[in-house]
Amino acid sequence: MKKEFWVPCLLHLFVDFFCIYALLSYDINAETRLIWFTVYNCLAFLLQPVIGALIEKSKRNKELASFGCAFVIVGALFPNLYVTSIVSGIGNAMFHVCMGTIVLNKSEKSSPLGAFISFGAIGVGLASVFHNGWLFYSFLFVFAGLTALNMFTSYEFIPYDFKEDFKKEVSKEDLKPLPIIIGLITLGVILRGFFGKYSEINVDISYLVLYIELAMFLGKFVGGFILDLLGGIPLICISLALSILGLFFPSNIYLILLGIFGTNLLMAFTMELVRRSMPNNLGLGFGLLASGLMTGTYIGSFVITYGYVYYIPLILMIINALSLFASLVVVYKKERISRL
Amino acid sequence: MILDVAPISVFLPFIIILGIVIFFIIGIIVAVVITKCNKK
Repeated sequence: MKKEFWVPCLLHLFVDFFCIYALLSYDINAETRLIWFTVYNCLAFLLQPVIGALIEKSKRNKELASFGCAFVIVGALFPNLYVTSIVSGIGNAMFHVCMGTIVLNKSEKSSPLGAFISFGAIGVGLASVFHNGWLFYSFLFVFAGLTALNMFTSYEFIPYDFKEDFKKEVSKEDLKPLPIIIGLITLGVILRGFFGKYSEINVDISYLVLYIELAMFLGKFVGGFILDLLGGIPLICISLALSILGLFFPSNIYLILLGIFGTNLLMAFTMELVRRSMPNNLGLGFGLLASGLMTGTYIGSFVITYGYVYYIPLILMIINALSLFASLVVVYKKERISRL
Repeated sequence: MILDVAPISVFLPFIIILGIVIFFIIGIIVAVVITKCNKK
C-alpha cells in the first residue's frame, strides 16, 4: 500500500472518533439522544450521494476533505448538542466522500479501499468506550496536524488513475454505468447493514462495543488483501461461511466476533465492484454505499424490536452473497475485472 | 371526551425509519439528477 494512503486512513479514524465522542459527551435522555444521533447519521451518511455527485468533477477533493475535518473539529469543540450534530454530520459526509473518491481513483489494488474504510471502526470503538480529557486533547492535536498534512500530500503524484487505467483498452461503452449492477450492490449493502443490527448477542462482557468495532476493523482491513490475493468468489465464500457460523452461536463471543469479521470482509469488495460499475462516478458510487449501509442499519434496529427470528438474517446473508456473485459475474463478462 | 392518544415516543422509531427511507430515496434521486446535469 502506498505511503500516501495512510493519511486518509488515520484521518478517518479521527473523524469518526471526534464525531461519536462529541455526541456521547452530552448528558441527555434516551429519546433526545435517538433524535439527535439520527440527525447526525442522516447528515453524515445520507448526504454522501449528493455531495459525491457535486464533487465529481472537482480537482480540490483533498482540500474539501480537510475542510470537512475542520468542520468535525468545530463540531467537537462547540458546546451545543444541535451545533455538534449538524456541523459534525456535514463535516463527516464531506470528508468521507472527498477522501473516498481520491482513494477509489488512486488505488491500483483493492487493499487500500479496505484499509481506508476500516479505520473508522477503531475511532467509533475508542470513542464509545473511553472518555477522558487527556485522550480527547492529545487526539485533537494529532488530528489537526494530519488535517494540515492532508492539504500538502500530493495524491496527484501517484502514477495511477482508475478512470483512465482500469482497463487495457477503454472504449466509451466501458465507462457507462451499469444500473442493474449498481442496484444489486446497493441492495447487498442495505442487507449487510440490516443483519449487522438484526442479530442476537447473548454475552455481557466489559468493552463489548470495542471488541465488536475491532472485529469490524479487522474484517474491513483484511477483506481488500484477501480480494487481491484470492479473488472475489473465494472472498464471498469465506465471508458467508464465517457470517453463518457467528449466527448460530449467539452465546460464544469468539464466534460472534468471527461472524462480524466475516460480514465485514465484503466491504472492500463492494467498493471495488462499485468503481468498476460506474468508473466515471466514483463520488456518487461511494456515497451510495454509505447511505445504503446506514439505511439498512436503521431498518435492522427497528425490525429487531418486533423480535428475532434466526432464519431471517440467514436468508438475507445468502441473498447478499448471491447478489454480489451475480454482480461480479456481469462485471467480469463486461471485461471490467480481470478475474472472478 | 378526551381521546386516549398514544405518546409520541411510541411512534418515534416508525417516524424515524420512514424519514430515513424517504431521505435515502430523495438523496439518490437528487444525486442522479446532479450527475445528469454535470454531463450536459
